[in-house]
Amino acid sequence: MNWRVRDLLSEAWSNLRAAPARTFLLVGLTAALMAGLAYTEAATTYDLVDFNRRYVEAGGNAVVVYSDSGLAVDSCATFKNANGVLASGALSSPTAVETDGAPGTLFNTAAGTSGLWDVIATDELVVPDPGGNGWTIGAAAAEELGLAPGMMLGIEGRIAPVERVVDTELRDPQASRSIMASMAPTGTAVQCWIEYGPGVSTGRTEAAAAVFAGSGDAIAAPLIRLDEFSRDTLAELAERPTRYGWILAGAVIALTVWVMAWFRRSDIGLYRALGTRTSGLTIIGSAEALIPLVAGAVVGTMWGVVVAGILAGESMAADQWSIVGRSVASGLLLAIVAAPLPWAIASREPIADQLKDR
Amino acid sequence: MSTPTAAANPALELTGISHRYGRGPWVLRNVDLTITAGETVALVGPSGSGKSTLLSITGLLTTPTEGSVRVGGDPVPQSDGGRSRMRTERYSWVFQTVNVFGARTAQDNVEVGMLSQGVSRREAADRARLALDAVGLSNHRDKPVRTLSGGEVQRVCIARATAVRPLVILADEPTGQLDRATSDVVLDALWGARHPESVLLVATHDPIVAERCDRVVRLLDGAASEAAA
Repeated sequence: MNWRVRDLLSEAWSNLRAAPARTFLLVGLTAALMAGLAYTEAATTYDLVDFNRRYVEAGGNAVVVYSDSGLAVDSCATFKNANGVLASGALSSPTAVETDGAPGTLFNTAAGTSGLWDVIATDELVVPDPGGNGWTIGAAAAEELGLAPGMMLGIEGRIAPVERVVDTELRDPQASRSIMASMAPTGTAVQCWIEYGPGVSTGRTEAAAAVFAGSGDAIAAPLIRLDEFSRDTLAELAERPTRYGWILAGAVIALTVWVMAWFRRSDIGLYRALGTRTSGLTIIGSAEALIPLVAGAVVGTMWGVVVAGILAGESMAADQWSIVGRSVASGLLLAIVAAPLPWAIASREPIADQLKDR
Repeated sequence: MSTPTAAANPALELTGISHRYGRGPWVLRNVDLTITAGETVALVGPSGSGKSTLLSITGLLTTPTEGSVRVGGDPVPQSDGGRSRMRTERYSWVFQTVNVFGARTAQDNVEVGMLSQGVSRREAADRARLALDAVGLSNHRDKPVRTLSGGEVQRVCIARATAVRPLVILADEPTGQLDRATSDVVLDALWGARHPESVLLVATHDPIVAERCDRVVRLLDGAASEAAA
């Protein structure tokens, strides 16, 4: 018979409680290193994530197909089902009109299919197209006319409710001063807007152009000028200097655990003299490391993230949590795997020699 | 040279033990030693005579260059695991340098010996209390061992050694670092707490320890001889 696993874990816990200075030293060191790792990863990625957010908001993943002679609206609608496409919608040719309430002031009117607003507007929450006959108003026009959803608007004798006010300033400043109506997915339009998902990075323009190859003058182009967003964030992320930080943090923690184990060779010898086998020693060594290391990593990660967030002035995005989490978890795993090695190795030394170290 | 010792039901038999470290000189030469259950034996001799080596071989911490050891009639297994198991199940040690977990309580230190043998925590706690009572440390049960005096710590070691109810207790200079008065308290504890059937083999320089033993074996230049108790 030998130790029960439950008692080995309890033994490790008792050792941690009996030596609070050693335990807190390990917790503190782990917390400090993990805080540094989390902070550097978070701080580095704030810039990249912010760039990506601005890129997507500005329409970095959007393609617009133009044609003076007209594009088939139903072809534009087919993009909705294409792989990697988030939304698509057609926009008719604009016309200058006066509203019944503001004679003498010209506004553009146009019509768009459902789905157009999901591409053209950058509101965080775009109200789904109700499919009614009401107006969709650009934010600038709404402000100028004092309109809000639910109010009635008449244009050249046609009176209908304002269904939505959308913010198109970033992607289509002209549409911001437009009054738009809903359009059935038939007939022709002059523009087709397509929003791709972030995973589709190549061939987007070509794919859009191919659908309208039958329209002689159709031109597909990215919505934004790509030279305004020339950074390759994925490459920057892959090449960031902090990408090996987890190895450094994990190695320093593991080394500290090893040094602590070296100073406890006599304890190891005593356990062995009392009949504890290598497997039992390894479990004690692992458990004694696991608890302070995990506690230190959790505390340290929180520190690092909070400090990085305060300095950046915003909370972390999900992508950043993923990057920080992966780095911290990798460093922690390295340290935890390495931690019991000296306990296992020490079981090869003569017990009598270990006991003499006391 | 050997020490002829008639013994019925031998608990411990060392036959033809010779030992040298590497290519060094022989530390032990053809030692025979048989001890029956319940017997107390003192191992005396000058420094460097081989006492600690013989104790280490007897306790299965060192494999002899020549010779064999039988414990409770069974030969020592060849495998490391088998040797370790026999060491755990049949032996206890009391060392000269106090080997304890200093930050842990006296109760914890005594329990560890039994837990490592698979004794349940509840039973280990009960037996540890009894063992500490037997060596007169009832009032120090929950104190960290590092706060106890040298004699008290040695008694904790004795409680740990006896609580596991071993076949053989090996003591290496158990009073070596204690004054006379404290030594007497420790020896009383050792003799009083051990199970009557346990063998006690003590390596010592102290003639008072030797006087308490049933037999005295003298080691000189690695050879053993029976001396008058």
